[in-house]
Amino acid sequence: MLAIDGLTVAYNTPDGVVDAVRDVSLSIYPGQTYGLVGESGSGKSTLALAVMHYLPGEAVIRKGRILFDGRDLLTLNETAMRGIWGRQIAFVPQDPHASLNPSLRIGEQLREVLVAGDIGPREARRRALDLLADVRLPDPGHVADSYPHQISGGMKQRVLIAMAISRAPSVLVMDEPTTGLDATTQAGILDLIGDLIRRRNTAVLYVSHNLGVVAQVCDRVSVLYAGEMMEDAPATETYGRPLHPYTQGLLDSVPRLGQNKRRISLRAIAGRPPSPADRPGGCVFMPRCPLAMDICNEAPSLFEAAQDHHVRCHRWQEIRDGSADAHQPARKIGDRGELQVEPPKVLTARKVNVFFPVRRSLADLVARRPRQRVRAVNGVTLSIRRGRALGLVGESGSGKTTLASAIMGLVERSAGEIRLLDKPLPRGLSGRDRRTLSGLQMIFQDVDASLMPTMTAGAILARTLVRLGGAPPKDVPSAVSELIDSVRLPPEVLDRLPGQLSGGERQRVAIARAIASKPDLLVADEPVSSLDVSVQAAVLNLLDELQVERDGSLLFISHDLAVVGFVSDVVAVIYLGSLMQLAPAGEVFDPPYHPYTEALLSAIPLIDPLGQQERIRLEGDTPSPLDTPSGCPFHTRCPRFLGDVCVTQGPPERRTESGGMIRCHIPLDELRATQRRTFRFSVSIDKAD
Amino acid sequence: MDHALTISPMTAPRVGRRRLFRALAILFNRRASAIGALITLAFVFVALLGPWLAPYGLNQQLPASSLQPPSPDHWFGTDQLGRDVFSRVLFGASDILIMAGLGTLLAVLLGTSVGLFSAYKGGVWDEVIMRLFDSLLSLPMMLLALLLLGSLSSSNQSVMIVLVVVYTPIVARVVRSVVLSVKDLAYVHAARLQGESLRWILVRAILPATFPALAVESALRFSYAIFLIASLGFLGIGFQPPSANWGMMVSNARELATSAPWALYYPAAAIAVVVIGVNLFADGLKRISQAPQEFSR
Repeated sequence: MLAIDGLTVAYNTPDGVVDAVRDVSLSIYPGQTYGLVGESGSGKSTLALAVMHYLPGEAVIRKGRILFDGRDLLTLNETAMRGIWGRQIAFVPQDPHASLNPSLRIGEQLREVLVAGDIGPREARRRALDLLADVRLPDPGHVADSYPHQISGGMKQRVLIAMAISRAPSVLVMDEPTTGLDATTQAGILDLIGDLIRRRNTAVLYVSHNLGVVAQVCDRVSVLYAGEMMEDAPATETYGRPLHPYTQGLLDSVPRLGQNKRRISLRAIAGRPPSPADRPGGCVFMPRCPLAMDICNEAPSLFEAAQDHHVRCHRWQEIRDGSADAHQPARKIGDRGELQVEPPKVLTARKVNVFFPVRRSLADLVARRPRQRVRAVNGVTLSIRRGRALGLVGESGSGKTTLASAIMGLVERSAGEIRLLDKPLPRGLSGRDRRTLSGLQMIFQDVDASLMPTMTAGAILARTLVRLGGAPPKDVPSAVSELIDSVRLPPEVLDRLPGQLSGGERQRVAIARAIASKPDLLVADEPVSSLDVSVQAAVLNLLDELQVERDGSLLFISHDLAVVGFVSDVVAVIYLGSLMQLAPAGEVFDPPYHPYTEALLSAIPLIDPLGQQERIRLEGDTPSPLDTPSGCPFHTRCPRFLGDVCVTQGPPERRTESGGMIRCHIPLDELRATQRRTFRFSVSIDKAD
Repeated sequence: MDHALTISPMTAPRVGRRRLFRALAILFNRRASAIGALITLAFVFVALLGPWLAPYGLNQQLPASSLQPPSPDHWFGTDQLGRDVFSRVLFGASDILIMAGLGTLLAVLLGTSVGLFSAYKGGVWDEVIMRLFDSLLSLPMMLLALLLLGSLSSSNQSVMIVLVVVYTPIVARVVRSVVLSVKDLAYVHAARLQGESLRWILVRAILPATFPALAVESALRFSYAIFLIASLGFLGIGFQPPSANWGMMVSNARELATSAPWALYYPAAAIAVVVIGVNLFADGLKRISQAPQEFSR
């Protein structure tokens, strides 16, 4: 159907011509979903655009063909391609917010696509509504009359899918179609994609960095690294019996739902992906590979390990026989028995509210409408004990970052009390003395912006030590060296500007800065979500090691329940600014769940194509925090909605035996009786190290 | 442990020099920017050394040779009073460019301070300052300049005041927009979390981020300042007769357009060339500031 044959694509850059994709071949058949997995710089998006024959001007196709219906697409000009785009091969882009015309109604945009396909305007209108219903948008008529800014990101992505399928193409290219969407929204879209493919017998090229998503959607998976195909096999093989050290490393470095650091440690891949401009000769993965030998200085070809299973590694036979173990050795982390004694509380937050007033427009003033408030955080009570990690998990808009900012003093809380080591914390930073500031430090999500661009890493750390560490000037240099060593970076890094460091290195320097003052509590706001998958594990391991070494406390914030469950001792689930569930990490994955936790768990794609999962999908979108629902904030979407009581009364806090808490009107026993564990892996994930 | 983090042995000073080379490479890679940079350089040179380069005095009258066409003795010819046009253009360059440069510098300093403060503080301060600037900017620039000069004495200081009043709001706005995009970045939060003073945050953390935009804006303001001074000179305001304002030279030579066009065209060309040159240079600076950073991963 669609065949890529020996494709090599390069970009013209100021540093010369750089290969982005090197000698990639693959074929996709009708009804097949072909996954392309890779980290940033792996060339996956370039490959997707090449299939569309829609590469940017700096790109050069150096070799290869893209065969479709017996024609080489790369030889066609734009006019000829216009007959193919949409009609035969359609594209679903990554960013739904930037991919729709903001000044046209959804219906008009869809009709435009349809009319281009020789359908009359009246027929087009009817078909547009059908399509919107096809992608399971509630109330298609209303959506068709809306402008893009009036509908949510998930709905926009559905509209884009509707556009892509509107002319029944035989090939669909999807470039990270669910990246940036919330887990519960993503689950619905993935269901839809799976359904459409099955019904229409379309061939799909699915590009993603997310191993779970690909496991859920794809039949066949190709792993790209530094522009080259490392392994190419049916999904069950790639995930079940990977033969390439990189594939194995990738799979080992992601925490699975239900794993916890007390039982298992992540095996990080050493180093970082090479920059496209200086790829190693020979095997591109060699510098990071635990199995590298002399022979790896020669570039390996793509070996056929079994029928339909290709691998680019000299040592694949040994890996298959088990005589070479590519799994990185797991690190041992001291004695981490079960938690028995309860250490003292480092931080307590009681009924914390953060409301932001909304500016009133002139019309509001004239109509005397009352000032509205965004209720970002609503009566949150929680505490963190010494040496423990509390994981805060929630989707976008849940208020998790606002809560962290209120604790840090970057945002002033509207009500409630926060105490650090039993001393009340002033609302804003201005009221906090140096002791308080050093007791509370933070790691930020945006790795690119976390360090001052004009200061070297060494100067940044020295400054922090002088400001907060109270170090006498003569001790600063040695303290800086100790710090950089404690985050496992070589001392050369100290002379670099942040722009000269990779994302992982930058985040380590940011961690070093945050621990310089030996804080009692470290707040980490999505510390790994902007890093490449293979680098994430090393940073998570580092955070964990530091926590153990220093007996520090951690508030770990993430949207990813698998990561939070892995890192934390206690998990807090937050929805629309309210705490829904608090549970020891071991228990959050088992019933009784809060119905929201249950839905969240069943929405996370398992990194296991053969795993089983309950299918609980939430209706609609998260309500606006301007207008939080009465009673239980989750009642508008709750699959276990009871009735009036959920609408009129706030739910009670029900305590579990282990000290957990679930805020729900449904009694715990009833939840326990009606809920099942939402997911089951096909193999045991808790194998001891 | 993953000590295998690969870091090439490249030291910081070498990187600074490499950056400069990279910037120059971007500037000189494009013909237009290169020409702009050279023109700017040449005029700055002339402005600083003009009085020494000039073959004749500023107001040295050569009675025997009024309205001479260009010749080896008088490259740009002479005007109706028998003054050497070439020399007057050179003298004019130092008057105009130094005045424009100083005015721009003051406006940039003031605009940057106000923009930084206003954007970082936000709230009522920002609101009041920006609305004030908006109302200033709502007047046509020339009208504002004429109004101000009408109420001030006609002197070099007055022209400077005009430049500052007219350009400060523009610079402040540019700086403000950069600051707004930077002040909520993680590294600024980190600075606040280690108790840095407001001054330290503004000067050390935020100000450097405005430099690229500021460089472009300063170059643009400089070229418009030259333009504005020349225009005022043409209208006979600002500089007083003994000095050689190009605009004034053009205005004085208006009636000679057919009989002695050189007296009109050379000063006019000087205005055009320097304004275009500085503009092209500003465009080149913009390219440098927008060039992708190394190690963008």
